[in-house]
Amino acid sequence: MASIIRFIRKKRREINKKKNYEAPEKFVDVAEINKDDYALSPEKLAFLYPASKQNINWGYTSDSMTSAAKADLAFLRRRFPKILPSVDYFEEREREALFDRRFALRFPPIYYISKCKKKTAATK
Amino acid sequence: MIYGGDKFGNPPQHYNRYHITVLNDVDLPEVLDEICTNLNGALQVHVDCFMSTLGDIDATDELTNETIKVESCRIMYPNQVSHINETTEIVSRADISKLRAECAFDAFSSRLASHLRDDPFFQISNVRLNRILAYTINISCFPPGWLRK
Repeated sequence: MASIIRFIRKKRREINKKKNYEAPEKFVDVAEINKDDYALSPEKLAFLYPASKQNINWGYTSDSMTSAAKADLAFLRRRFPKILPSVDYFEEREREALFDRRFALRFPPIYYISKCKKKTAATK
Repeated sequence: MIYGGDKFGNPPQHYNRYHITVLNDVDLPEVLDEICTNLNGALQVHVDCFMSTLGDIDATDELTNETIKVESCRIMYPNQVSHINETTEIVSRADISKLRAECAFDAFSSRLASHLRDDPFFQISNVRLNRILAYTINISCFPPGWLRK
């Protein structure tokens, strides 16, 4: 008998909870408030989504663009081979500045040049 | 103005961008002309440079213990955003000739010096241009449909 009463009370609690939960939803029904905005006029559509006018030619990006980029890279590599300046390239006071630790980056400038040298040696 | 995007959500600046650094012994307008005529697509060009600068710093004279101003040399690298040239988008031959005029040595260095002079950060330490070490040319290539003027 006691177990049946407990069962009924539990059921009532669940039903009450559901009622409380569902009640405020009626007040904040976003879809109902913005009902007009879901059916946009063609003028408003064109204003909000200019892509629908097809300004952009998407077809150009995929195949032709990659082949063009390959040609560009080939040209740039041929025209600008890697050249590292010798020490004579810098003036005397600039050579001191190369080792200056008060530099905005983490390391002095000479660190980055030497890093570049190592890279080129490895690729050759 | 360049606008548009990839269908995967990439902004156009991520497309085919080349960073070229050349030493100062080259003829910059000639190099720019060569690049602009040979690369494909609508180009956006940003030219900047590595440079050495002179500034006045405080130091103590060892004999008299007085504070004196000493000239010091530093090396400055180009800002990620800044560019010296005014015409950035290359569409026609006229744009290239404009760019050539802006990147001629005198015009370029004077504009660079004015950048330094007008910067409030460098006005305090009186930083001035010593010489240009290397030019950096950042070029992004866009599909022509993305460019609107």
